[in-house]
Amino acid sequence: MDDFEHLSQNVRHELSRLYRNGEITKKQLMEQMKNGWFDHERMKIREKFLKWIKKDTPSQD
Amino acid sequence: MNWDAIFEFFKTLDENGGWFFDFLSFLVAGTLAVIVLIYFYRLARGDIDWFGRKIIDQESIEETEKIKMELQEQLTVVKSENAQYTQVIQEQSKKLTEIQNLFTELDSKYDDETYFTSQVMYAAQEVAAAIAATNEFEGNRDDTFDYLLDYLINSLKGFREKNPRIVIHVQHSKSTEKLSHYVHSSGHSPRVKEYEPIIDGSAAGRCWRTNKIYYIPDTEQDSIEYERIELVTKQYRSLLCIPIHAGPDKSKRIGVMSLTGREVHAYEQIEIERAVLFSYLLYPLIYTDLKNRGALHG
Repeated sequence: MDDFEHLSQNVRHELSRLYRNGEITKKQLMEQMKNGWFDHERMKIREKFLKWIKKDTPSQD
Repeated sequence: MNWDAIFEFFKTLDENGGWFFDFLSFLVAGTLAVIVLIYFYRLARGDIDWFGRKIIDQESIEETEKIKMELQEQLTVVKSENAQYTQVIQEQSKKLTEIQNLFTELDSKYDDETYFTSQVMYAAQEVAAAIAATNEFEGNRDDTFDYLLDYLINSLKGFREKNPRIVIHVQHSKSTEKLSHYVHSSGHSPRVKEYEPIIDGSAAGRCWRTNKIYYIPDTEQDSIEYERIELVTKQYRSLLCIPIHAGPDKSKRIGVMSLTGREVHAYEQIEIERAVLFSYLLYPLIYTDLKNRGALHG
């Protein structure tokens, strides 16, 4: 298993503040807040799916 | 054309022994013989009749017609199959697009869930830290809850549209008819501290009484238990009240968490469930704090 870093309290609060002020999007907040935690399986499945789609979708070239 | 010259030429040839006419006679006779031979050969083969007319093979025509019809039938079948395959391909292509869309939707929800899980982790960590460092927590109670409640608020969908705000009320120290303010999230006016919901006749009071979730999707509707306060500029239409308890036993309830939403029907089921999960996360901290302050009224 990959070792993901816990975000420090200060970083978490700063991210929350940035989101509240509209300086970062929800997507950015989510990605940075997770910092990989709980997300590795989702990313693997996502990668599999994207590969499958790329293989099964005819090229538009 | 000069005919006289031509006659003169033939006359000269005749006078020179007539060899040319002999040659011409043989040539004509030979040609005729070949033609006759070809004629009899074709007659023998049945290609022509006695008058030299070409004989058409009826069987061959019928065979050709039959092949033609078969080919046409095959062409019709192939065209039909082709149309079917095209339809199948179109349907499969449509299904593939639907699968892609479904995956995208599912992935988005999965993304949201993993984010929420991370927020639960950090909230639990902060609750544990606050319980472990009581003195520090007492000096930063409001800030600690500000951050804790932010984890829940930031997990809700459409934060800017809903403008969610949270206030937690606990049992009043001096009155059995009211609840009192404990903490609130950022965004609330300081006047929220002054509001003490009555136990009979307010949404938070009902939640406290019944020890059950009370969700009002539209506070403007009739037949809801809700305290309408004059002169308050209301910034919400939805109100969700969740008991902060340790199960169905009313003696173990310690407060009510109220979450407002600017829109009507602001919260989906999953968001209500997340708020419930957070209420359980907050329980140990609020319980410990109330107990340490001697404010736990059983």
